[in-house]
Amino acid sequence: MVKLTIDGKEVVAREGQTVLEAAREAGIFIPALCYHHEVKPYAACRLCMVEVTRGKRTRFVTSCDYKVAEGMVVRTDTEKVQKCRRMVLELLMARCPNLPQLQELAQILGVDRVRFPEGDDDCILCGLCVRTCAEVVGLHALGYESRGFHRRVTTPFDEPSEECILCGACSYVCPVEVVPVVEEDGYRVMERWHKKSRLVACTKCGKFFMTEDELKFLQEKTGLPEERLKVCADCR
Amino acid sequence: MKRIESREALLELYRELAGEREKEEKYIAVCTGTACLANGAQEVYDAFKEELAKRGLDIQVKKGEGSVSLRGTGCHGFCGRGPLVAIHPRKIFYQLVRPEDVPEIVEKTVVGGELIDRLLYEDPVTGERVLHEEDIPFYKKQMRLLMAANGQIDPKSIYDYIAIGGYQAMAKAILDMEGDEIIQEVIDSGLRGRGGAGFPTGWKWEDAKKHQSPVKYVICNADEGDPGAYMDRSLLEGNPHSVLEGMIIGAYAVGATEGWVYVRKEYPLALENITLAIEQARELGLLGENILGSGFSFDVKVARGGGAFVGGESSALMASIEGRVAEPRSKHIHATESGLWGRPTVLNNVETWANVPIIINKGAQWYAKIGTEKSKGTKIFSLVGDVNHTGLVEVPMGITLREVIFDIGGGIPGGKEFKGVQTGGPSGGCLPQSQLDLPVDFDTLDAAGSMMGSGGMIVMDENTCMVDVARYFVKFLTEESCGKCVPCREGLKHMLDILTRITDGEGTMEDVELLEELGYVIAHASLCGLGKSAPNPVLSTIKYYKDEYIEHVRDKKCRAGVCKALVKYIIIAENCTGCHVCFKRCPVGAISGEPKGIHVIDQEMCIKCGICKDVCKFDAVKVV
Ligand SMILES: Cc1cc2nc3c(=O)[nH]c(=O)nc-3n(C[C@H](O)[C@H](O)[C@H](O)COP(=O)(O)O)c2cc1C
Ligand code: FES
Repeated sequence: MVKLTIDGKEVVAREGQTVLEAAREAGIFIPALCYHHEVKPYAACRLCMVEVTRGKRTRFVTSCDYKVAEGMVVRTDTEKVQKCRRMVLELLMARCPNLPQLQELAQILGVDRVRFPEGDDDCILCGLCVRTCAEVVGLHALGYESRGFHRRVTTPFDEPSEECILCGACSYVCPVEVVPVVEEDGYRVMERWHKKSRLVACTKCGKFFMTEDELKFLQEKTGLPEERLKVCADCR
Repeated sequence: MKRIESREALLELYRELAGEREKEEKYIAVCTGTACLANGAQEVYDAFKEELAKRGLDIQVKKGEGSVSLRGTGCHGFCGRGPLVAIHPRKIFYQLVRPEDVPEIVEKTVVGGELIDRLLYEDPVTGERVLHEEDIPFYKKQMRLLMAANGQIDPKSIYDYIAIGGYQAMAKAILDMEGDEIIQEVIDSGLRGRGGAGFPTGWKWEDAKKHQSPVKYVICNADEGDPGAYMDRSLLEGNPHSVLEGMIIGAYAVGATEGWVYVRKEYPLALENITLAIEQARELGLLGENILGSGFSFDVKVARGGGAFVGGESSALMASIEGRVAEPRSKHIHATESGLWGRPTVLNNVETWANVPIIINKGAQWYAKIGTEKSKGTKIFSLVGDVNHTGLVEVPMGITLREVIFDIGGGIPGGKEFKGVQTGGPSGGCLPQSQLDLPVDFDTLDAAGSMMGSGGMIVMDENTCMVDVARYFVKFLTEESCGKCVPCREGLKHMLDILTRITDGEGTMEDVELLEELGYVIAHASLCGLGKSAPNPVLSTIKYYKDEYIEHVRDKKCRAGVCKALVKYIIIAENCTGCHVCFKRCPVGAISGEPKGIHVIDQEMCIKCGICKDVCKFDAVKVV
């Protein structure tokens, strides 16, 4: 057990927890767009920055990957924190002017204007889709292309990825919900990754429940016979 | 090559080689660093080779009285005057040497002992010819702890390095000293990292030593991504063994078994020389198993950097060696605990490593006498821009900017006014006249809004627009940002847009405020050092040259005449002789006027290329 204070409140956290996790468990709000408990911290959105004092030294750090320590004093509401958070959000809103999730956050953080020319993107480059694909699913269907302002998330060479099994994990994890998955005419379609795969029906109830690519992937991974895998969770 | 198995054997070899060198009555050192090579140094070297052979003087062919040895050495630093040749024993220093000069040099100077005036450096102030390197103003105020050996040895020969005392520090360290003792010595020396951040080297080592692990690494950062900077290249090319020796000492001190040298791939000669140095050291047993019978084993590998600026950042560099994308990550956990492949790792810059043998040889006390209270030793700068003498200068910490620019660099060419100096590479700040007496050290430069960085120093004269300069560097940094974190990726892009707007004459005073606000956030909230330092060029120019921003925004004027949208080319009637040259040369036909009559520029048509001004012999074209 580790004792620390966050915004004046005494908090007890578990060893190895991050400041963000500890704060959230204690009901203290810290904005975070590139964090997800299922994948490793990436510290790219910079919204979760807080001021941490240990001993005499105060540092300005990302709470999503900064570990708690005994006696640590965390401030999530200093002027510096607010100034940086607001600007970061303003920058993201300029990049992606039409995302309701950002607008909601703007209300909470008090960002009432965007002083930069508006772009027309919808991806905030949090990298959660890329990391979930790699770390959770274990595939590398997605990656980054170009650098700096031109960086994008995409499939290799912008072609449909051969690795992608249309599992939809990237869609599930996207904090701004811009990776839609559609099922129609017996296919699962992910327009964003130029990919579609035929759906497989459950041998018991007959409902579509996975894609052929997923089935193949599972067969290879588990070595189980096809008949066993073609039963949906409800019928198993 | 015979393996050196003990200290005695190393000492014996040293005595033998040093003795041979002493007997070498005459030798010619031709600088074959990259800059001199680009100016034809290889041809000069070949011409010497041929000439000496023709006269039967080449020591390789015939030893004995009167014979001459020839060395292609590393960079001597005075690159603006290359190819450079030094004739020993009298240390006659010739500059701007061409292959045609060689027979005369051999005839008159090497054999005859006479001087060739035109090849000597002429002091621009006194007009006197200077004989020796050390008397040239460019070198006089330098303190060449690291660079001096570059001019004395053939970097491709480990024997040359041993002959000047090379690897003695290593022997002392691994045979007579404990790791902790070495670390204490480095801490006491006050050595701080030369790669940019100025972190105390000894502390870093101490931390790496503390973390137990069967495998630890030391890495030499030779990625040198600052455009225009080449001190690391020159050290690695000119004296690779000094870097290697430093790494062996560091590895022994922290308990590392494997080292990496990460070299920028655009540095073929550095790559070649360090690779060769490693092979030679291995053959002699100075790398590998049980070095000098000490029981300590260590080897070094070479990796090539991809060439991106951010690739030199420590966490990106390690990712790249591991075969992953060279992208920075958070460093709440230090590399000294979990670095390359998760093992404790010490990463230091080329120049940092090259300081280590000197500290071990001469002692921390000796070393700590050089420099200021918190910045010890020397620093190599790459002095470029609007300055008379360009090249690499190694100066004691604490020297003033004025001394570097005016005494060593010889001031501003063409009698122009000094306007500013940018130190620290693309993300350094610009300092004006009023800051010229600042001592050059890590903390003073930081406090002034610039930084030491890796040692770039760009001098700018009155014809420089400081807003345009800020824009230029931000453009570079925007292009080099990896794009991982929001403030750097998005923030720099908007900074660039705003600066472009201002130089286009479309900026507002709010824009200047927004630049400051953005600068604050990018500097504080970015993930790695690139973003953290990127606002420096903007914030420092707003701090020291705010007038110029205001002039661009409010008066729509660029006093340096650089920002095209804000200047007009006009012809002053009194000066115009009607020579008609501008009329003929204007690429868009914007100038009208009869021969012998007064000429006029049509502002609507003028594309502000400046050709008319360049070709006018009567100073009749003005930029307003
Ligand atoms: C964008 C960026 C580029 C860098 N490039 C280099 C480089 O080319 N060479 C270098 O030695 N250090 C470079 N650094 C600094 C390294 O991250 C690191 O601090 C340094 O190599 C440590 O060695 P030192 O303590 O001996 O200076 C760079 C840092 C940043 C943020
Ligand atoms: S959640 Fe910490 S940087 Fe994005």
